Amino acid sequence: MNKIVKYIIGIIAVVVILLQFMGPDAPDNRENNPDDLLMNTQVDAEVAGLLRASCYDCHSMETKYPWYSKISPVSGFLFDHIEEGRDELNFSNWQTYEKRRKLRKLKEIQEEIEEGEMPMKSYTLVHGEARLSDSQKELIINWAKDYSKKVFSE
Amino acid sequence: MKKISLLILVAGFMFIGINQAQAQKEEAKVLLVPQNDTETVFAYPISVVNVINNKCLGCHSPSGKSDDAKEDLMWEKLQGMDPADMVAVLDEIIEVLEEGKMPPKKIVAKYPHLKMSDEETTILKSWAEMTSNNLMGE
Repeated sequence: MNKIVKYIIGIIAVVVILLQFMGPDAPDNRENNPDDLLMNTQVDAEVAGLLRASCYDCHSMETKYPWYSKISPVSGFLFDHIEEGRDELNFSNWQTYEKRRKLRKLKEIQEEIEEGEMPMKSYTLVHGEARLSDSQKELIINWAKDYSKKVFSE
Repeated sequence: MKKISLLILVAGFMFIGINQAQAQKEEAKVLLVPQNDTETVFAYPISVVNVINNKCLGCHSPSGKSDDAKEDLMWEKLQGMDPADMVAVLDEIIEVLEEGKMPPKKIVAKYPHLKMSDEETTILKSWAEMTSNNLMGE
């Protein structure tokens, strides 16, 4: 019995080690982002800080990869989330969005934050600094509302 | 004799049931009022109403069964929205049409008549684009 357990642990160890060599590549970051939201619009410093701390890891081309992002299979989950996040909303590409898309994204930001869907629980669990207090949520929601009015009348 | 009267009674109830179901269907159809008024920024022309009736309202109306679908979009509510919100919804409609995501593949596999033709997609998409431009004053 003991032998079998040892065998299983051994096999798992070998598989995990092998996985390290064949894991997926991390989604690329980009150094220059001239179309970035914060580069092009006057966003209140506090709100800008919150966006950077709570959203930018998945919703921009400036992901700060943690050490465990190099370890498979955790890296796989992480990379999928980042890719999906960038696909949904990418602040680094903000200026490339059409006006109507900006309006939609700003509305979705309000909804996601209000419903507590974003930032994701699995993310804030390990990134305590990304957690938003109620007043911080309100700040972002109010910013999105005001900015949406501005975009609409532009 | 008793059996026959019971049969008639049952048939009668069934008839009423069918009629009610029919009435509900009809009700779904008059939710969108077609308008060809160029003065109004937001209007549903008849061609657009037809596409929406035939391909969308099965799920995206109060009689729809899927709560998700109803939460995502209710056509008759669009009219009363704030213009910026309306544009946001129209943008999603345009994206969904561009990516061919609606009606969902699963539903089309089950009910082939719900498949959207290229012509229908164009009608709905150009209407959504035009309307969102109108709303934004462009």
